[in-house]
Amino acid sequence: MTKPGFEVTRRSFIRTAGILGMGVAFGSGLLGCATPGSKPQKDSPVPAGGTAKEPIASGKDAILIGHHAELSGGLALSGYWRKKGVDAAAQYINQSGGIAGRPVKIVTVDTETNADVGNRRLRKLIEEDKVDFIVGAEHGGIAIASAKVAKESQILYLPTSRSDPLTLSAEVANRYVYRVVSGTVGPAKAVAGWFTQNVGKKWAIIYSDYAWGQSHRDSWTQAVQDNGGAVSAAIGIPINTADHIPYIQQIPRDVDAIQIALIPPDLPRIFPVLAQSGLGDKQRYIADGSLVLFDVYSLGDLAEGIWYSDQVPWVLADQDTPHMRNLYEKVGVDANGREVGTGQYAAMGDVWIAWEIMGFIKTIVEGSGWKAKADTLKLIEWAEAHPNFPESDLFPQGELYVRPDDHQGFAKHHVLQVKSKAIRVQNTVDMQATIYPAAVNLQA
Amino acid sequence: MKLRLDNTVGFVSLWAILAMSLVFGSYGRFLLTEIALWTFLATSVNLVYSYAGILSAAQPTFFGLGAYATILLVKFGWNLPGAMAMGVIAAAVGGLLCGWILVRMSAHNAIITSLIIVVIGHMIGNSLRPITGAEDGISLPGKVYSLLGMPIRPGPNSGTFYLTIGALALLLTGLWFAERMRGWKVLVAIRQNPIKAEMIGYNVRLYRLIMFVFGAAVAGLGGCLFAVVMAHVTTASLSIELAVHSVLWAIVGGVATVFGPFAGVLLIVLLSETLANVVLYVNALVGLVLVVTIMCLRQGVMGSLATRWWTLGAAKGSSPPPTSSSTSESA
Repeated sequence: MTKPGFEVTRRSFIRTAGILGMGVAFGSGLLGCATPGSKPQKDSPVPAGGTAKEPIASGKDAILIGHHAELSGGLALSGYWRKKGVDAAAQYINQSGGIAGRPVKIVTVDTETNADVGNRRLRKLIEEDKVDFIVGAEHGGIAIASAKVAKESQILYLPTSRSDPLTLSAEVANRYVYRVVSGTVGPAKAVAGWFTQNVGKKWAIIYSDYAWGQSHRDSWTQAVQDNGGAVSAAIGIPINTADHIPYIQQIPRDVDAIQIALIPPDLPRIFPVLAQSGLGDKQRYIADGSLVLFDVYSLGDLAEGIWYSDQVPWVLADQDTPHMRNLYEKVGVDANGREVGTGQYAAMGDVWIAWEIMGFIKTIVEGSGWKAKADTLKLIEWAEAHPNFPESDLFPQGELYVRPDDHQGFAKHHVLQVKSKAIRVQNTVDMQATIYPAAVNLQA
Repeated sequence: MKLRLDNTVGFVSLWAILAMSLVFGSYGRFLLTEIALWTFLATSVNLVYSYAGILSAAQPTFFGLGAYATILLVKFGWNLPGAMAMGVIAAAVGGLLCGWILVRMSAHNAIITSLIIVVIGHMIGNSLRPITGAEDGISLPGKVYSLLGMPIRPGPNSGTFYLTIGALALLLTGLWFAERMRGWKVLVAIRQNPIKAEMIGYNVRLYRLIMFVFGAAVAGLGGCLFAVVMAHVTTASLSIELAVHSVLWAIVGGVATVFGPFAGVLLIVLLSETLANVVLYVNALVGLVLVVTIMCLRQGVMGSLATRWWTLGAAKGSSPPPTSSSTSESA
């Protein structure tokens, strides 16, 4: 039966709309590629930070800072806080006179915690958005691949990743990469002495069986041995394992403590399994950096007593200085380490990294007299000659030392513990004690 | 020789990309190179699904094998062409081992087993960190290589762009010609009715295994080129996430067509990058595209074009083209 004339049916409408939608996307995608140098996305839901209030130098060219961020995928939670840190720092810098009198604009792209997508979006930042500096990825694979691209493109890349090869491998480390945050070696060196003296000498390690977890295993094993302790078992757990019991059962019963270097979804699930397996009375130390990956308070009573180490305290009372208070206020976190408005658990370790990277960029741009990308090598040379960054609003945690040899940052380190539903500092290690010998010399 | 509408569109698109590359900036060229690389993987899924009757999620395992073999062998002192050839062979051997198991299974069991293969491959890759670099990956040493007399510098550049697009054009043109060969018609017969093909004397299991191995080799070739273009490989190249994407590309583009996978990758990657400018959870919308495609274009973009051609051509008395509907039946 033929239909008379022109009739729109539900099916034909959906089909036509689908085809049109794909056609529009296809066309706009191609056009987007064909216009190099297109403007950064100011109205995107992945918004540029620091554009709200710019009382300075409105007529001057903005300095574009790309943020290569994990906003979705496995590292989305810490990505959220890093983005808050970068955007808040940009806004603070703009309100305080900008960088060398020029406003800062942030262009954020989402790596989706995926190496291939991360690579693609990095190229977009460099070649399409033409950013001047990049606050880099947290995901090790993305950051390492990006280090190479940064060198080729001669653009400064400042990863938030703790992956060791970024500053330890001669193949990866290069002068265009500055890693302000610690890797796994520095924190292990910083706190292992205190832990072996005060928590236990005989350790087991359970770790996510991939690069980051394996790095923690190696660093902690070495550091514990160097301090007269021993690691009697190191058990790798595949990511997103359904049943942890077969792995937990391999932990010797006579260990004093267990280092846990896992990522979600394994990390929060391991604590009930430890308790059910009769290991609930063992001391539990969550490896540096990973407590931010989930809400530890969601564990309830199981969280009590968990050890952790990080470069910033969680509650303001543990470092109540004007600079830290400014950081908490500008980022929108209350004195108890909760996000203002939502009450959400705040990952201050991530906020701090993002904030100080922005401070680092501002300091070296102004110090070196950087004007444009052509001056980047001059800026690197200046930063190598001026490795100390004293405590200030831009470096609220304390003095930051960025070693010229391998561009690795060092800062003081705290040992923290969950006590009465609060994460409190139990010990602090000076920045000097976290320094280990450089594996590469980029100035050679 | 007549060209079907889907193949005409495919050839025109391929040439258009080559022409447009002259206009594009380096980011546009990089995006097109990446699209070409993923097309090898999607084509591999298409070949294995259409002619071996297995909707295989295991193809990234062979893609990753090709990529890792290339980089590791170059690090061991092999020259680049030798390392790439060995990468393709490694993927084919991997395909032979997996295919030998999978072609003995019914469709659903084969899908589940292929999922297990890709998960195991990813886990092994992550565990062998000293070799694979796990999530951190390993890099191709940055120097100028010689490939068939041409200097090739690893990384996204015009040399690797033309190398990748050229290899893809050769593959797709070769498949287009192969579709017209008598031996290929046996594969089509097996796809359309494997029981009948077996009854008239064809060794269906052998043909399916050959196509599985060929599909694995195609994925391996894509992996080798990926290693050269990206100059860095991580275990993400072995992941189940990539497996899901590769199936998505093939289905949206249209299985059992030469240019379907290419169209699928082109559409989805460009759609993703466009949407990434306005929404955060791009993959959710891309998933919606898959649903819309399945509802409205059941044979994918190119499959629907092929059917449209047949609908028009049938009135003029031409024979029908192969479509994915028969593939679904055999799978």
